[in-house]
Amino acid sequence: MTSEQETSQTNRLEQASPCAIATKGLTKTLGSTKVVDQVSLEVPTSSIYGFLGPNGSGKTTTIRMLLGLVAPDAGEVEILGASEPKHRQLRLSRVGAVVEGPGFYPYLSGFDNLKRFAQIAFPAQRKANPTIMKLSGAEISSRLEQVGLLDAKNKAYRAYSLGMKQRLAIAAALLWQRDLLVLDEPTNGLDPQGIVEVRDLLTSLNQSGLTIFISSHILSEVEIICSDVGIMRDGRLMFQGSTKAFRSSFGEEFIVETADPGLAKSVLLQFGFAEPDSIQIQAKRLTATLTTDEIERVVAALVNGGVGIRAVARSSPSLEDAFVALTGRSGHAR
Amino acid sequence: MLASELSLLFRRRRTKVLLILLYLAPWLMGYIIFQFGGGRGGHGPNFLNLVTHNAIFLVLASLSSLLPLLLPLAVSLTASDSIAGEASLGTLRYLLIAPVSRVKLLTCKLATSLIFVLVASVGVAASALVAGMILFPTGKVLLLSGQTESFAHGVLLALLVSALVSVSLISVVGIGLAISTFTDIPVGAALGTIGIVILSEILSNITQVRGIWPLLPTNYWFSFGGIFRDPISLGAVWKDFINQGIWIVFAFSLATARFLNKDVTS
Repeated sequence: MTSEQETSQTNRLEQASPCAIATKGLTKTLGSTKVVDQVSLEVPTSSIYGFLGPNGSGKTTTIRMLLGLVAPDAGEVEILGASEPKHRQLRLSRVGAVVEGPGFYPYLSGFDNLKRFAQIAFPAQRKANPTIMKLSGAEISSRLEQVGLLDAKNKAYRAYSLGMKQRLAIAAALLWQRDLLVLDEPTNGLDPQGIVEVRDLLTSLNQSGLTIFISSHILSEVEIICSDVGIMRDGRLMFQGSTKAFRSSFGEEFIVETADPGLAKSVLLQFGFAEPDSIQIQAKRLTATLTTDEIERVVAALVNGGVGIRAVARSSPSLEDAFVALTGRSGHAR
Repeated sequence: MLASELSLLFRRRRTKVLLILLYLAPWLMGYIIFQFGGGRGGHGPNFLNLVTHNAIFLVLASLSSLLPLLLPLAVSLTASDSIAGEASLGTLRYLLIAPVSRVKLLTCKLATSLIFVLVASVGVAASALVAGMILFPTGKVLLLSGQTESFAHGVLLALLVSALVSVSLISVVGIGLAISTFTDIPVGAALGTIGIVILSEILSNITQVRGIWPLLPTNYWFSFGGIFRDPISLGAVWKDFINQGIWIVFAFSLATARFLNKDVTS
């Protein structure tokens, strides 16, 4: 077995921890406000985790604490299995990140900017994996190609559009082999086409085993690709779990249109298909959260009970609705 | 990493402009003296009136004219850009998560600024030497103590002086670096640094505060005059070394303490 294989195997073993990111009671106070309050994240390895919340809900400060830029007042952080600050710092060589927008040297070209960060990061990469080589010009160009910036590689960064700057930041996050990507609002400033491209790129990276932690205040942008979500509001983590669990915790609704919704309600209660307080009646329409998946049985019971059914439907609330319920704001609001 | 820092600094247009302006100053000065004669100089040891006698003294005259303001200004701009400049561009957070340890980043920035100081002052000396050799006589050098030495010996002494000037500017590098860890605005840090240099120069002219003179970072800045004596008198030069040493240790400790505990929110 070559040493390279050995190293990659150790890396895989280290990743075997169930969580790529885990925090416990993370808290940060700035002035008199708790910007981040008792946040305990669990980001499963190989997931795409959507870290959602309105602007100012503490997402960026949390991300800065994850990456060691800001010291928490209380709580613990574990990144790729490393919890001690010194080890965590080393582990950052396996983490690519975009934090609060791009940051590059305006007087250097896109290529020279990436080269600078490649040089800066190399000692840490070498420390984590002694067989690793310096990035060649061709490799740096291939990262630019990956985000569609190859044509602009020799253009000064200051002449880049906002979308191009954002792409360069993503290219920089992908400079080296990564286990985890932490992306803070990576689609800011991108046009709809660009957003789709970034989403496709992230999905394909995720399929190769990368864990992706992506923050956004626009739910609809990331909803499609996320396997897990965490919802922040006023510094607190309001919800955390799989996207599926998130949807179902807001209940799939069963809707019946009938001339006599009162009778339908009593039938549902009689068979225990729904809790009394989950049933709402509006004119000729009954809405309920069912305790069973067997819609057939429910419909049969209603028919046998003499309820004249005009229409039956199931509605699955969008993440958007749940997001609004949790954060009190529309996820589209900018 | 140091190589990357150096290439970043010296490829930047601002750095090139600063250096070119500094390097042009001796030519301007030499030309004026060539046209209008030496007269009597202003600051520090008076070398201006000696320039017409020997090219070597253009080196000394240039360094002593640039030392009170323009050299420290260029050094302030560079040193105070170290952390504040990266913070204002938003690159600081990306350097730290690269990852680079904060102490290593600070050390590299310090080394880079020190190299800039050397490039600035040795460059000024070299530029002044070339200008002097074109405009003025290059015979035997008359020392301040009356003896004469060969021109080659004079060139060595002049280069030694530029090295001593570099040492004298170490405190400015330290102060600039320390201030730059406290702010995200590089211009503010540069103003603060040059402000301290000017304050120190003002205080060193007020006899009522003579007691603190030895602590002022600019107090021994013109100690290099002793090099042009025979025997060479180094008393004040050693004091300058100690003074600069104390300042850099103090300033770098302050910078480290601040930077290690800083929340990077830029």
